[in-house]
Amino acid sequence: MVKVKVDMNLCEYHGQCVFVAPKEFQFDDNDELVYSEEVPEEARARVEKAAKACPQLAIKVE
Amino acid sequence: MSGRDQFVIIGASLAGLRAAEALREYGYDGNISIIGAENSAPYNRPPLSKQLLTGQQDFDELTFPVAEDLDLNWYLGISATGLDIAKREVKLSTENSLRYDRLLIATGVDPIVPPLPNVDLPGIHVLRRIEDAKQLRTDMNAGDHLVIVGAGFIGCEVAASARTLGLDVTIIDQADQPMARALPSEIAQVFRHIHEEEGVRFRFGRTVTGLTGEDRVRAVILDDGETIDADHILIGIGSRPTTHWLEGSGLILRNGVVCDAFCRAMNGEGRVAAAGDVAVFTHRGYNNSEMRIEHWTNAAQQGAAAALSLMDEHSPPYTPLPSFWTDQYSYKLQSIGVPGVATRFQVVSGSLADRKFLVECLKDDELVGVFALNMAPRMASYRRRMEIKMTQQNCQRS
Repeated sequence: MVKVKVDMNLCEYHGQCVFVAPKEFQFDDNDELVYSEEVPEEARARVEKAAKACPQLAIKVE
Repeated sequence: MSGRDQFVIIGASLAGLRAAEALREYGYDGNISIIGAENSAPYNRPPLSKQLLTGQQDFDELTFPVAEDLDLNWYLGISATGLDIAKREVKLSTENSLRYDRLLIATGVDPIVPPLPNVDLPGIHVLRRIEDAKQLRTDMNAGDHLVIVGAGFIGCEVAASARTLGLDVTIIDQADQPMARALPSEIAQVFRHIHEEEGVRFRFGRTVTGLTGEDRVRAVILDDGETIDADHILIGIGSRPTTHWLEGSGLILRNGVVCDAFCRAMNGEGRVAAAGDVAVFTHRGYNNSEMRIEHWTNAAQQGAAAALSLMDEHSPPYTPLPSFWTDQYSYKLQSIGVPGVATRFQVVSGSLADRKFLVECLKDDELVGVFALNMAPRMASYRRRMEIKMTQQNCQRS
């Protein structure tokens, strides 16, 4: 599994990750960011792309 | 000279880094050299006017992570001074030359400084590079009144940061509202009121005709004769593509490096491309109009697209959905598409008065852009919708 962590102190709700990787990142009904903290290996490229799309550099993928 | 293929990237920036990453991902195994005029490895610029000034983020937090296996040759603190297309050589400020098989130009823009006497006095700032931000931050800690020349994004964002820090702020602009070139009047007015409520003073319809001071700037003089005392001044009146080093190279320069729809530079013999703020390209998704996009998302996307265009002649045309955002106080305004061509606007959620809204920009009933103020979650779905439309249009065309 691939670990995903969003630093919510940095996140500014740009929503780039939600756009790039909608399966792994979403906004819920309260407009809060929800995301999968562990994703399967086949999703790695997508979450890494989401991390690179984040203007706040708030997403870490391990 | 090694026999390996040489890919040279001028600009140790977001666009340059994303280009290098895309090349390795593509399987490129030649040498990749990145030349950067600044001493820093690629870093994130948007916080320079915001989190960095207010102290929420520090300089070392802005550096982009660079994977070690990218195997890049860095030339930092060195600028390109010339290009010889016939010899395939870039001249460097070290007097050396670097030979290339493929070259990506990502030199960005430089702030415009007005030709006023005393404009080089201490206390007068521009804001583009990390060194600019360091100086401005240090300076802002030592004085009370910041005068900002130019009510564009940089000026407005720095105004918000400075007010957050408790400084007095006056903004001067020749237009009659903030961010007048980028925003429709109704939205610009919302921001004008936000700033005024936060205590910012505006001088609209005015230009600066003089700067006074001896060892340090003391005041600005406006065209109506008013003198405004200033502890420091930020000049944010726009920027100019960094292409002076390319003059005489044979590349076509017209407010940037002119490229085709694939980001390949005209007259570059198929070996030169440009990306980011410096690149003028033909956008197939907007009737082949020439565009130059000075925004974060474009720098990232175009860096990768331009590099791959040089590797693969079957690369798709570059057809990004333009987008930008600005953060001021607790407000985040986002834009996608080309709202500038819209003929009418409709509020589809929230309201201007509530300062939380979603505005569709329409041209002949076609959705050409969207503005969102503090409604980021709704933007992701609009962005997807408009990206899909852009892709479909391009498929039909090719």
